[in-house]
Amino acid sequence: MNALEKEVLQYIGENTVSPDVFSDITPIRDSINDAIEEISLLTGSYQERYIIPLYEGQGVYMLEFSRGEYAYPTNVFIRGDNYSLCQTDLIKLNMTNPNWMKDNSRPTEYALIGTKYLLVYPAPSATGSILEIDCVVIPERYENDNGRIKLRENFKKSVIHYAVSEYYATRGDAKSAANHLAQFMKLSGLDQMAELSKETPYRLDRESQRTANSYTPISSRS
Amino acid sequence: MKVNEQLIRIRRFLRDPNGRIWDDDYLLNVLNDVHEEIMNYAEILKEVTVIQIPPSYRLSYFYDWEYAYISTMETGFYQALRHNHQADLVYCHDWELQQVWGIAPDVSAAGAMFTQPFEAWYLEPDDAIKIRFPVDFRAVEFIAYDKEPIDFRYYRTIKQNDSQYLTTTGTPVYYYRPDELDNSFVLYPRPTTASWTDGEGMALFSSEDETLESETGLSLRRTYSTLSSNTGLDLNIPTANDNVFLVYSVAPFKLGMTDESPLPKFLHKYIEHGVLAYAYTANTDGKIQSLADLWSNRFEYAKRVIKKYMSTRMAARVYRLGHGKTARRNKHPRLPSTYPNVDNF
Repeated sequence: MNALEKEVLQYIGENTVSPDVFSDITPIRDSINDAIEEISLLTGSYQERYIIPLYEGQGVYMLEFSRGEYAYPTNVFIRGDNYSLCQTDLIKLNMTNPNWMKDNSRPTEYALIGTKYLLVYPAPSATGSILEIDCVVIPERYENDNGRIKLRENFKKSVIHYAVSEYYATRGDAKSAANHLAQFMKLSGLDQMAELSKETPYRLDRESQRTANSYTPISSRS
Repeated sequence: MKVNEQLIRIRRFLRDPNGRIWDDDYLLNVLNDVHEEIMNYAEILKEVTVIQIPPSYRLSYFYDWEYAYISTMETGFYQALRHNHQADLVYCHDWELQQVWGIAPDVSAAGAMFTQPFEAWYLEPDDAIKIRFPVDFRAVEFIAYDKEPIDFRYYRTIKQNDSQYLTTTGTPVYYYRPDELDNSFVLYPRPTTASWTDGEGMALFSSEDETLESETGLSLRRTYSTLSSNTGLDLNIPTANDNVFLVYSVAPFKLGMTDESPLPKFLHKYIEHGVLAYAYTANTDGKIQSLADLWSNRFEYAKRVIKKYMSTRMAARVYRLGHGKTARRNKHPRLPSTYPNVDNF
């Protein structure tokens, strides 16, 4: 039992030295792992670097992680030439150049297809470049007491409340479960992040200036 | 996480470990409903594949009754020839029907019929060459032939614009679906370029860098290969030259007890939240409104998490699709500044 699990048992009033109800800590561990996954997904707090050697003429690559699970990229970089690729998508590629699949050159853009494919455009004209992808990764679930917990310190308290909430849900106490879930969201900041994002794009811009030829309404003339 | 493992977790929250209130069949059905709901809502699963031209099929059949004997996971089957409803028989050319009805056969065939589509490139075919979508196909995201995008057209439009559509050849620019239930499509015009190794009456297909011997008698389709066990790299090598390159969204399929959802593992728990919401809401002895509300709220929150995840994946784009700045509408006519004020008149 690690420190997080111990604290969860303390919250629910269980003996942490020799627990009689949670002799098998698996349910608590499952809840903690679920909370870690949710926080990692929404905050992007855990990232790893994925390296792909590019091949001549090949534009589509599959991302297969051996530890953790790939969520989304934050930066795609060509090592050697040292420049970042811009994100695009299939719609834009088709609109700007219907023959985009036939182009072979230095990759300048990348597109995500589904949850495991990455497309670079144009397809590399030569083998040898290295693609470096910084991506948000959902850490693998820890399975034993000494398992590594890939979570920032300031999120650990919220994870405890998530597990306590699920404990109360299994006991049928919906009110306590909801209260602890609210605490989890508040402590992790997810109550604001999980809001539905508006469609309006935000940009930094200066106020528009009236031009010399702009017309002044009659009522405002002196 | 497999479905049977998920059900153990679900039962813990239902406080029904032995299935006395909600049995496994019920929970499995609800799980499939929720799974389908999430997949339809999110549409995040997409696959990339190359469909070889000519398409390779493992078996042909004629009558609908034969379909029942084909495995549901089999995608390489082809319904060949034509079916006549009145006589309930399969035929090749229209003159055969004339003969059946006692009419002197005088309708000439426009071409030859085939039982395997690759035969159509040996002769002038009198039938459309149906190419099957993958078994988990739901909708086309992007489709190209020989690295050139092709558009969808309705079957009716193709027929109205070209009465010889079955025999028109050229570089495909459109595709149509003669029958949506069949999960197949037809390229129009029919491509003339197709290559395979002739295995003495058997078609052998290979991708680039592969060498096939005609004596092996094997029909191969390479989907992906691992370069080296040390690189930890999985590559999918679609060879799109003279083939159909397809990006499609994946359709949800019915999960069994030992199946695992194709959704990313970190989204599996949201399926469980949905199952709990529906289970507690069902009119059973275990119905508890407060818990039903709790899990319904959690399931709604789960959908927002998924939506947030989908939008965050595209957040690195430097452009957004949308209309440009709208032109400013002037309430009053614009006059040059040298004009005297209206008030002075």
